[in-house]
Amino acid sequence: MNDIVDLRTVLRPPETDAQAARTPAASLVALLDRHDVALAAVLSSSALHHEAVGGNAETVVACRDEPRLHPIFVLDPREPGPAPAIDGARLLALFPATHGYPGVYAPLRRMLRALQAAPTSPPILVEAHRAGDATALASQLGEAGYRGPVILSGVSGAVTLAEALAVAEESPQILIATDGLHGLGEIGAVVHALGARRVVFASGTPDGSLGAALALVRHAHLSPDDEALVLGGNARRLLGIGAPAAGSLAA
Amino acid sequence: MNEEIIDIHCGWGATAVAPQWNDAEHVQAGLRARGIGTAFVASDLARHFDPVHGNEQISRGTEQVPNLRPWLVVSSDRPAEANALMRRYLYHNDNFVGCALYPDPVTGHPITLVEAYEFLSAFRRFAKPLLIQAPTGEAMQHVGEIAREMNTTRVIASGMGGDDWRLAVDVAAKHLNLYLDISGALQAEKIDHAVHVLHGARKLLFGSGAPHTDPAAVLALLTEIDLPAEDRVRILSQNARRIFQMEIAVAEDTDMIPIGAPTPDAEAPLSDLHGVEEPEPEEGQA
Repeated sequence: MNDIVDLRTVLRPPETDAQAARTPAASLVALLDRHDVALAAVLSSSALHHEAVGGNAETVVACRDEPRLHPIFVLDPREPGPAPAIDGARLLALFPATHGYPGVYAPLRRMLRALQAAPTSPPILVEAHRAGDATALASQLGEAGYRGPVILSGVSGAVTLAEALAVAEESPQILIATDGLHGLGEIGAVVHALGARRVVFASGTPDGSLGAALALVRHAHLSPDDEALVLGGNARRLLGIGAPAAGSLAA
Repeated sequence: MNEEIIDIHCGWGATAVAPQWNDAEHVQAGLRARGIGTAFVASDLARHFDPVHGNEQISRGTEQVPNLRPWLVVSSDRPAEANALMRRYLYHNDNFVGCALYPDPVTGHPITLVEAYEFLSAFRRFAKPLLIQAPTGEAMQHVGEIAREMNTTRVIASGMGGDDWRLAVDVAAKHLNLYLDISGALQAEKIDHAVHVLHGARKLLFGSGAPHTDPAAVLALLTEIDLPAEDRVRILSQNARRIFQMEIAVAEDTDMIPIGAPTPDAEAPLSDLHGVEEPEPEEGQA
């Protein structure tokens, strides 16, 4: 059995009475258990859809009670004020399309410069399902000089997949998440083009099906070593979390 | 006997990452690897550019392959061409399962009743299922209007309205002749929701949209929820056999009920089907 780490999950408010019986974090952990997922990086839907700073604080509190969850800090360059505090953050995230700003955006460039000046350069997950966003991001990363890893999320279909592969081939700091790679052969093609070390498992659950996301990787005809990297090894490396102790995974 | 799976909507045409998805042997192998024995395929060439040659290619490519059956893809805004294609492929070729309509390949403009009316009037006489891709809630509402107008035709909305799947289910609940394939958003809760709102799984069909979506992902949705075994069978094969009037496998692969024989579902009264009232017949229709 693989060591599975999901690089993008969501804490979502309950929609039913049954869901309300648990905290969002406990519901998410139950979902992870059902699919034998060891760890997950998580963001709150409040940070994504309402207000980043307050939502990120909610995420941190939720993760304190669930050690298998690691917070994603959502960055919103539209919000005024000083550069966001990222001390201790293992993963940052940008959502240009969801937040409604263009790929080329001066506040984003300013934010990337501020991040570059910080003592650490944590990985940044970037929503890139909108055509042109990956290209714009790559040029702004270059201008800002940010050197941390950048993971393109939500890439799917001929247009954005070709774009993501092109920018990733030019820039070794760019990786691609599996959360948008729904087409037959897409995950295999990305692994073939970039190597398995640059492809990271992410599901977006519970907004997207965790079972479907895993099925896509398991039907990608990857070698066992490559599948292990995609499903867990790469995410552990990015998050700076060591591999599980030998023997802790069922054979 | 292995679980029977019928994928009622796949594409047919090479893509950059699935370059052999226009070769019957390769398509069958890819589907078999995911447990799918039978698939209904629609030409990407016909859908995006050239219905005449696209349908001709898929007719030739599947004629010796009983487990791959083609949809006839037409442009509803070119009714003369559509009529010619229907006469050619639906009158004299039992292989085609029905007609498939898609939003405008350039603008994404959905199929609407007003714009497709002439085609729909001609299509009625063939008494075959009609598949309409509905990737959005707006498209789904138009499919609902078409289903109301075509109330003697089995209409299948493919894509379940995308992220607007709640709306898609609501629309399907209003029309006895409107069915949903479960492709579209990869969210298992939509199937739970549909089974609840539609009072069962009799209006749901397994369709993947391959190669644009890997069928393995759509199949995984069914294992992610606590779906009763009989509902799973309905979604994966039984509903398709009923709606497409296929032979029914009863015990072993070789043991089939002939076409036209009553099936358990066919014998069920309409009032039992979906917990909704039967629609009033349209003027001038049976």
